[in-house]
Amino acid sequence: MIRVVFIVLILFQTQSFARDWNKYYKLVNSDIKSVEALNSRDLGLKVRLFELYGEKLSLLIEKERDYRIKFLETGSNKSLNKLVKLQELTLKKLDRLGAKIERETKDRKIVTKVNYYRALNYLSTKQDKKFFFYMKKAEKTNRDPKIGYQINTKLANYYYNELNYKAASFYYKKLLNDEKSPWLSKHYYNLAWSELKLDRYKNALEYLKKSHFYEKQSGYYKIGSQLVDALLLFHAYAQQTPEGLEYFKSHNLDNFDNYLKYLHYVFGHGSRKDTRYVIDKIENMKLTPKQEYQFLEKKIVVYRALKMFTRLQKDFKKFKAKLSQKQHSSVEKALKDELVIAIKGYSGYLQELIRSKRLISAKRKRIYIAFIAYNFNVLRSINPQNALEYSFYEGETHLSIGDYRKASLVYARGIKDFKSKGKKTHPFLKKTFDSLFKALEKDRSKNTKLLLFSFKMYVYFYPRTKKSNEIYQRMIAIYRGSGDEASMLRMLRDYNRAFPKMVKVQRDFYKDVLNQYIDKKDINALRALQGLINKKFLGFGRAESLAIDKVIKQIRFSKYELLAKKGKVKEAISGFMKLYQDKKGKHSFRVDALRKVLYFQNQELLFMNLSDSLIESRAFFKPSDKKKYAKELLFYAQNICFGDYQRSCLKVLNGFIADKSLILPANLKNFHFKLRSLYSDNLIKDFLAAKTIKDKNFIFKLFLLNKNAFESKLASQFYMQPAMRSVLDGEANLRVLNLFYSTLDITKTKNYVSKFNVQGIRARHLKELVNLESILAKISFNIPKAPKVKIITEQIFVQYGQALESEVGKMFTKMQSLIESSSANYLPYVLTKIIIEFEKEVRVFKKFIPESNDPDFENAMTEAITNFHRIFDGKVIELRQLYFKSLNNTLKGSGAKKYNDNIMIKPKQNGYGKIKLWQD
Amino acid sequence: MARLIPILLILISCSTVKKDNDLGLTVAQRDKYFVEQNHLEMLLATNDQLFLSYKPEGCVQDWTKYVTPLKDRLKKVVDDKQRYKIWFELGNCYILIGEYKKAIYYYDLVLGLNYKNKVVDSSIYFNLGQLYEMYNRDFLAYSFYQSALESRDKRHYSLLKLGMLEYKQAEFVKSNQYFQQLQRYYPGSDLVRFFIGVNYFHLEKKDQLINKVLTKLDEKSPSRVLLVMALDIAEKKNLKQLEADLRNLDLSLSLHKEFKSYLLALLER
Repeated sequence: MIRVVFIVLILFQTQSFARDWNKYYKLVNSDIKSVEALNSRDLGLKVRLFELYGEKLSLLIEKERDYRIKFLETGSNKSLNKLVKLQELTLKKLDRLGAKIERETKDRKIVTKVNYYRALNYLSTKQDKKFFFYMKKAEKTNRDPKIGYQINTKLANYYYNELNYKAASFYYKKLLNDEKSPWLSKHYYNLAWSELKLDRYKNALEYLKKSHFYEKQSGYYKIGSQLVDALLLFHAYAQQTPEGLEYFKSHNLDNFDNYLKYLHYVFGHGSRKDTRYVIDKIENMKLTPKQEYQFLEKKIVVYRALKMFTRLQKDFKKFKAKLSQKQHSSVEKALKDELVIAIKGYSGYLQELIRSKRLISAKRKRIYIAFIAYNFNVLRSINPQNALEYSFYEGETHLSIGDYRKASLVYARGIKDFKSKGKKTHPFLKKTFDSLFKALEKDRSKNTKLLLFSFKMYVYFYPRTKKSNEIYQRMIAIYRGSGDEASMLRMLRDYNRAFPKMVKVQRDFYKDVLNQYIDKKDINALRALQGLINKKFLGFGRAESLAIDKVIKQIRFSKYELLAKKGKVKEAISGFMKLYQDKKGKHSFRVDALRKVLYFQNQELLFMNLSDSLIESRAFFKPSDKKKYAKELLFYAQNICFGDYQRSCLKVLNGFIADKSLILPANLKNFHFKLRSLYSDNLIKDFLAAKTIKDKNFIFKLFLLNKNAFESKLASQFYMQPAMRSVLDGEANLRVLNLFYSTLDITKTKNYVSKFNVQGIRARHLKELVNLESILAKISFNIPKAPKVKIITEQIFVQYGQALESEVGKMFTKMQSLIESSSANYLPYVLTKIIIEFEKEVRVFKKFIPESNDPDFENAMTEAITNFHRIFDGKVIELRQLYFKSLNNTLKGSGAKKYNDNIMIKPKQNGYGKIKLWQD
Repeated sequence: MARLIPILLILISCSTVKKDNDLGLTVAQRDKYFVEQNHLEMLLATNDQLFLSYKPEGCVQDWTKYVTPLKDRLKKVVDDKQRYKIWFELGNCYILIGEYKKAIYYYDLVLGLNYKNKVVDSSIYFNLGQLYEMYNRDFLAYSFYQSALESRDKRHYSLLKLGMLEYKQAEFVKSNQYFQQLQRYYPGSDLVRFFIGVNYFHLEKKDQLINKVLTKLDEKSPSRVLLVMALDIAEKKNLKQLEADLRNLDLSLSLHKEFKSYLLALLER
């Protein structure tokens, strides 16, 4: 592996490096021209020309490097080709010159010199065979030790390069004689290598130590690190590991790098068993993190080969414990990479061992798997950013031996750790997931928790792939299957966020859960679901939330509805009432509960309770509720009213009528009005509230049951209604006239009339009564008094007769006037008074019997007076006839007839009483 | 004839404030109810043709027992036709216990319905007439009786009431016109004949009283006995003996009793 490259530098060539090439090349060419221009056969000049061409060739070779670099840079090989051509020409020239010189002289020195340089020229143009040919020729002719030393050196190197180590060793040994040669250290070194190649390790080590010895001396060529490296290697080859360690220590070569290299050589070329000496040595040193890395890498190589796995694992552990994360970070990447490769390689090796079932026992396999797992832990320490990769490989290990459960866990852990770093992409992420799912699929234990975790992780890293879509659905199905609806819904929400277009599928899942909750009557779950819906879950809107509300309500109601179905309606009502009374409930829910109460109370005809509930509803319902359920409320109210729960009906309707949200139908308004009037003690107010003639009639009917109806203020209100006025007038007439004819007492009647609260009735009757009084006051008749003298003279009788005629006419006129001024209702009484008064006067008049001394005159007077008697009697008859006629002219039911007793002196009764015959 | 009143019921009716659906009767209501029952029984006891069809059932028999199912039915019925009948019956029942306002309330509900039944309407008018007559609203009562007559008065009692109202005002001719109309429906009724006879008596139509009334009446009937006595008084025959006989006359019907009093008053005059 390690080759020693011999670079033979020509001294004069090295000296010319410092020169300016062009200047020197021109100078050489100029000298060549000068010599060739001489065209002399002088050997010395030919030798000089040979030397000059040699110099030119050296310069061209030197220049060739530049041109080759240029060619690589520019791609143009024109100059290079020209140069190579020129080299060839120069070499040919040299060859011809050399041949000429050799033909022309036998001088060993010159021949040796020419062949030596010809050999060097071919060496520089890499024509090894020609080099060897001319060098050997030079060796033969040479007698000069100095040139001989050069020739041996060249030949030794040539043989070495031609892998002829034996010949090389021969020539190198020749060179050892010159102890003063500064190249002695180099020759020993080369000799040592030649010996090594001839498998003479101990000789080789000795020559190398010699080289090392001289190298340390001043004046000898310094080989440098190659020599130290060779010392490490040769000790290994010589299988003198402990001796080597001693040597290195004694020569101040005991550092980490040398020991590490030494470990390498001992492991590679020495006695592998002896590696432990080197390892122990290093382990006793205080190492930097970098050195720890290097050392561990080397130990992996060593222990792996030696199958010292347990020892290596221990070292891994030490390594992991020894270095902090900071120290890890301080190590350069290349070193890390190397160690990682080593560990991977080692772990891969362990995996191979595990896979090969026949080679190791199951127990051993388990141990190795544990090693591999730990190795990836170490790798994670070295390269935390590649933790996922290491987990993957670890998982692969478990997977390869069919430990799917363990594999799954490892993959999952890797993914989890990767996630914790907040990164999203990694070359190994996809692979890890693939393996994870493969492992999970094969894992018979079916670890659902792990499966769900894996799915979650997948959708976390790949939220919108085709596979994610399926995984979301699988996860949802798993949660659903396990009854973990809360997680399922969360997943459904995530699924929706990632795949909004899959909303139909998502909603199917949702509906499935919803139905499940409904079946289970799980109200809390439904509430939670509704909470999600309210946050726009799966794009659902208010309608869905309301639908859930409805479902919850139905569930809560179903318990009591079932009771009702079983006939336990009162218990159901009580249940619904409790639901309503629960102030924690939603308003709409409580409204519905109360509606149920109303429904069942109505169904059970519990109208008293129903009225209380209706009153409660009116207070509790919002105006919008009342409008919405107005039909129901009014229907129940109607049932109460139609059910004849009068006070309840009134109580309910009092509230309803004052409520702007409820519009009472005509029948309820009718009930309200009638019942309010029925139970009212203020008919005036009710009358004023009456809007229709029917309502007013109803109040009027109630009003007329009042004994003091006419004294009521309401009477005047009714009196303004034409239909009622006629009734009031009729009743008033009957009352006033009956009172009068039953008592014949004007004052009493007037007092009675004055109490009437109806101006029209009062005034009319008072007017008639006052008129009656006035008429009665005027009823006085005065038939002229009969003469007081006993014997009536003609003159006295004529005067009396004239007076009679005059007064009777006046009296009759007055009577007629009084009759005419009397109202028909009171005329019977007026006539009665006239008759009584008139009869009284007539009776006095009739007591007058005129006496005269003259019988004829007396007869004439008697006839005249009798004539007046007839007139007066006729008048009385006329008045009585008029009286009976007037009875029929009073108002119907006035009592004039009823209380008539011939004339109106004393009211009479007529004989039979009343009879009640209520009709059904 | 009065029914035995369970003490317990009285206590219950007295002890509590009435609730909406409490159909227990108060003492006053119960008193009124018994008066009505007695009056009815008295009329029926006459066995007069006028009352043969007059056998009110329902709440007359047992108020609470009858009204309770009525009210229960009212809770269940849904159409006006059914309500019509129940409200009418409730109106009638409440009249019997003196709850006249409630009776008017029910009657008004009935009359306010679109559904019409002339027989029921007639009965309602009649009852309202009778109700207002009780309150001495004779003008209004007369009007209701007229309405009842114009509607389909199944028993024609409105003729009786109109006749009596006319009689009350000494309108004997008019009164007899109604009674004679009534007599066409109840030709065998002693009571109707009695009313006619009384009117004839006041109209001093002796021949008609004898021929059209007395000859048709049973000799021992209180109506005939009273009317014969009235004729005797008018003819002033053996007045002392008449007075003694009249005072000894035992009568159960208030109508007869009233006339007896009238005759005694005449004798005193």
